[in-house]
Amino acid sequence: MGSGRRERRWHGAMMAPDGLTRVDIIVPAGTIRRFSTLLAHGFTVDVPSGITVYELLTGCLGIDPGIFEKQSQTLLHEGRPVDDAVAHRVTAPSSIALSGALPGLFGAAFRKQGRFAPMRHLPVCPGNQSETEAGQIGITVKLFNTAAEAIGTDLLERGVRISVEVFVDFWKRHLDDAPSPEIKIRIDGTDVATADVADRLCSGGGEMFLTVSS
Amino acid sequence: MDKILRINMGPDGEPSVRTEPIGDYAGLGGRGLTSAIVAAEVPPTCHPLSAENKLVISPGMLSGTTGAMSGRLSVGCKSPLTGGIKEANAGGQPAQMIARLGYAAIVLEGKPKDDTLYQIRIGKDGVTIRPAPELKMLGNYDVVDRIKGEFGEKIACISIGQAGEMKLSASTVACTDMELRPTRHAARGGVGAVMGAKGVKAIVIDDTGAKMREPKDPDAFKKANKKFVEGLRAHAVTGQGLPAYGTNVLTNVVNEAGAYPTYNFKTGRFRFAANISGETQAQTEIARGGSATHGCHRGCVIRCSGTYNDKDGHFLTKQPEYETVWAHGGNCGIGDLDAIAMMDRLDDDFGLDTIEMGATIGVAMDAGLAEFGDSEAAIRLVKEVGKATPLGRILGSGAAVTGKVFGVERVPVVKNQSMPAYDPRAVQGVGVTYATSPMGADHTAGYAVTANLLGVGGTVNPLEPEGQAELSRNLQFATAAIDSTGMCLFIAFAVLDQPETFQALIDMINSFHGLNLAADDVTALGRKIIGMERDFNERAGFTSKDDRLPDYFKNEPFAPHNVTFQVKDEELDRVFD
Repeated sequence: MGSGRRERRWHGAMMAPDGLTRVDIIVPAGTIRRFSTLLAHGFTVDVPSGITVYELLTGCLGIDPGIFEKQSQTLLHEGRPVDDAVAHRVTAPSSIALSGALPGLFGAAFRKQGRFAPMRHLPVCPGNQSETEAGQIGITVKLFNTAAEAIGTDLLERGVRISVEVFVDFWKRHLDDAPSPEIKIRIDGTDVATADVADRLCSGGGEMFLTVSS
Repeated sequence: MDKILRINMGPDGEPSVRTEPIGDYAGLGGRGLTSAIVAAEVPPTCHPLSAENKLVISPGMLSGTTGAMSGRLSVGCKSPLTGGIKEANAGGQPAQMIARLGYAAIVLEGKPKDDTLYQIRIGKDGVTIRPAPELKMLGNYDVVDRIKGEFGEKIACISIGQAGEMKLSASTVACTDMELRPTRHAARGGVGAVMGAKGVKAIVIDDTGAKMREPKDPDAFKKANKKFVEGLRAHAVTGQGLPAYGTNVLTNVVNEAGAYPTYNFKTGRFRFAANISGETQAQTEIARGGSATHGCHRGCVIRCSGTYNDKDGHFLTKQPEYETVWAHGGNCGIGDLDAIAMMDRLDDDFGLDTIEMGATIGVAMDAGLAEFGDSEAAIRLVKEVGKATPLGRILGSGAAVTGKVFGVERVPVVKNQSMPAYDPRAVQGVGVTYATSPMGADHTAGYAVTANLLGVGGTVNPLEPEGQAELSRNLQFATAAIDSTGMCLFIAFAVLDQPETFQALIDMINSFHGLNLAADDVTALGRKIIGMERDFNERAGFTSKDDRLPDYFKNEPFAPHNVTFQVKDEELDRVFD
């Protein structure tokens, strides 16, 4: 996945949207993945209405098709399984979730195009053709387990729109007492001590734009 | 592994021991052997805690060999929880050692004439049994510590905690792991209560001087085992997802799919699921100096377990499994991993099934004994069992009893056994397995997904809603067969997707035992086992009405998809036609 190609395709996160608080974090090399669990809560991407799931993830998000194939063993749209990412379109604000290979009967039943799909007995997600909205729509993308590991670092380096509440909770639980020399953080361009991050952000609510790099 | 060790605990005089050839049970191991012995020798209508019941402990057909993943131990009996036949299995070290000592099964029979509690030691030099009053009402961790003091650390231990001694229906049989901790449990169905009824607190297995079991064709076995391991390591589930995150890798996705039973099966999503997910759990374990990748027995190459340390970096418990995290977590509205890990530790120590206890506390919360989300109250409720209070005895008897005592209608059980962590309304095929398994609601009963490769999957169209019954039946056959090998069920993923890995497994069995089995023979074994189990249950008084989910699953729409369980009773009745 060449970075030039990726930048050209990137709609949702290279630039902080107007009005959002921007948080830039610099961490020691090799530790960006520590933040990848944040992506399980979801990040927002604005995409053209009617885009296919495949285009959204490989085009808009720039996920390498090979990695997408490997890391989208289970694909959910609004919690319902998607078996054909190339054909399935999203036409209204909603959530898309990606997971790597999962164990158990659930993993087998919810595997994309799996032979045990009848065990679900949930209709596959039909898409939202009847609720088509014009223009851009906001999609919440959630990355789980090996999918977050494989894709998350790259996304975090480029930046993601996430919930302030989720980020503050994550920070308090994992990083509130992290020594500042190991992690540098800037909020809207101003250096902030790690111990002050939660206080600086918690009154904001809504979304923020986060980058994590090393 | 050509003999059976029978230990009669009474009632006439002192316990007695006899060893006999495996005889008619030859060719069976693990679940196949436990179910065959129970079906043939236990009167189906007997009281599960009576002298007539038997506790059968059996390693698998490949246990005690150099074969990877072969360390599962089956424990079978008539269940005090379900009233039907039961097989529960566990990892840990005992299966390998029992097999190396040459025993296909250890059968505890009879019942002591009084409440004397015994400790049994089984070694190459024979069997010794002695009263062990010093172990009375100790938790599993203390029991193992005392046994280590007496026998050293080159042993394995099978024990019961306070719950088993009190003969509670949620009690387990604990097996020690590689670190000689009692963290692996044959957990379901109250098998610990049957061991308690036999007056046996602990069985010490000492395989000093015993050799690894030798295959009939060593070269072919070695070659097949190598190929089998390569297949496990190459597969995304067994080579990546499970080692990295353990079974709790499921939490986020099951939750996202709206299939995560929350607040005692009221809704399918839990707001704090990500906080207790496998990803967060692994991160926490590593940050605290524990481990997110660890085997539960020697020879495990998947290594889906781990070590969970407390905030100070001290060992608290093994990595809680997905089912445990769900039961004590989302099902009770608790989003605190440390609280869940504490309950896992307490369950292991008292000898309690984490699924049954989590479901029971969910019912207790519905009854008003605690608020959903109150982790301190939940921990207090678990501790009631360890203290042997009247409330603790009720809770330790499981969700069905607790529901009756406190007048709660919403009790998620089949055959009195609590459902695991997938709501049957959102994953309806799982509901079919919950309903029809001879074991009661059990996610592992249809866990193995080898059906198509075994040639029994048929031609079900994955895009049609019909077919759950056929899949469930075939998966139950496949699972029963794998449970007989001593292999961990998680091998099923690689076997499903990689024909060469499945063939390697068949080659391992054939080269070890000098057999010429084909896929159909494995299926036939599973069919035979399920047939024995269902026949036992019928003779115990079970009817088709026992193969049902509670009514509320049919009547209450389950958010977010607002679905009810739609599989018709007639279809459930056809599962084993």
